[in-house]
Amino acid sequence: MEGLIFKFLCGILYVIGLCFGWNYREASVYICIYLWPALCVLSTLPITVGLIHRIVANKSRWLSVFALPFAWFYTTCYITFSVLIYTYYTDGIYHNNPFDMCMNDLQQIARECNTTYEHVNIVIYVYLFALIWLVNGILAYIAKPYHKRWNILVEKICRRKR
Amino acid sequence: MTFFEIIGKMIDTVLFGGLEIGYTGLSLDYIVNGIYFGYLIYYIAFCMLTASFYFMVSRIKKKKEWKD
Repeated sequence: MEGLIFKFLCGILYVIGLCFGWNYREASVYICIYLWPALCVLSTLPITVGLIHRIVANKSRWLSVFALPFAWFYTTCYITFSVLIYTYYTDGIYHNNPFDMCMNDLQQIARECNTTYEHVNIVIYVYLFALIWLVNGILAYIAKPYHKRWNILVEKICRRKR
Repeated sequence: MTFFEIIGKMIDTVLFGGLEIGYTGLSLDYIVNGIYFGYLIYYIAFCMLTASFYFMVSRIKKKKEWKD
């Protein structure tokens, strides 16, 4: 099953590569090494936008001002890790070949964890990516000032208390 | 357990590999601090732009309400 998912993802990469005139190796380097961390960094920005919206709309303004540096630190951690990924895969021994370098690393990780190369790929590029977007989505939802359903629930609770 | 093992190994590989290659001799908190304060000005610019955008949108909405 994992092999099938892996082949399907490779097919998607190949098709995306065809759209831009890249071969499979180029497409996987651009998307898996360059785009993947950048998308993770981008997914942290809606949290900040939500907090700023709270400050502007005066909904728990001071709490949001207090939370802003922490949101920036969270984004900073993502940026640091992305910068490390970029430096690691562009200044390495295989200077012009980050694809081979990345594949060697993934195979090494698979050997050390007693699993297959496909499984490591799926864990990093599917499960981890989904987890990061889910966590950032939940944080962004919490940071957002106006929730229709959430507000209705809060109002109901407040009425009961009264 | 394999999930966390794999993620841990990935972080080890990239973190220490990246640190050795890119920032030899520098500690991780030094780098985090460098990015935290180095990119802060862009972050403040982003915050101000977004805030002004929300301010403009709310003003336009209020004007529309007055007209209606």
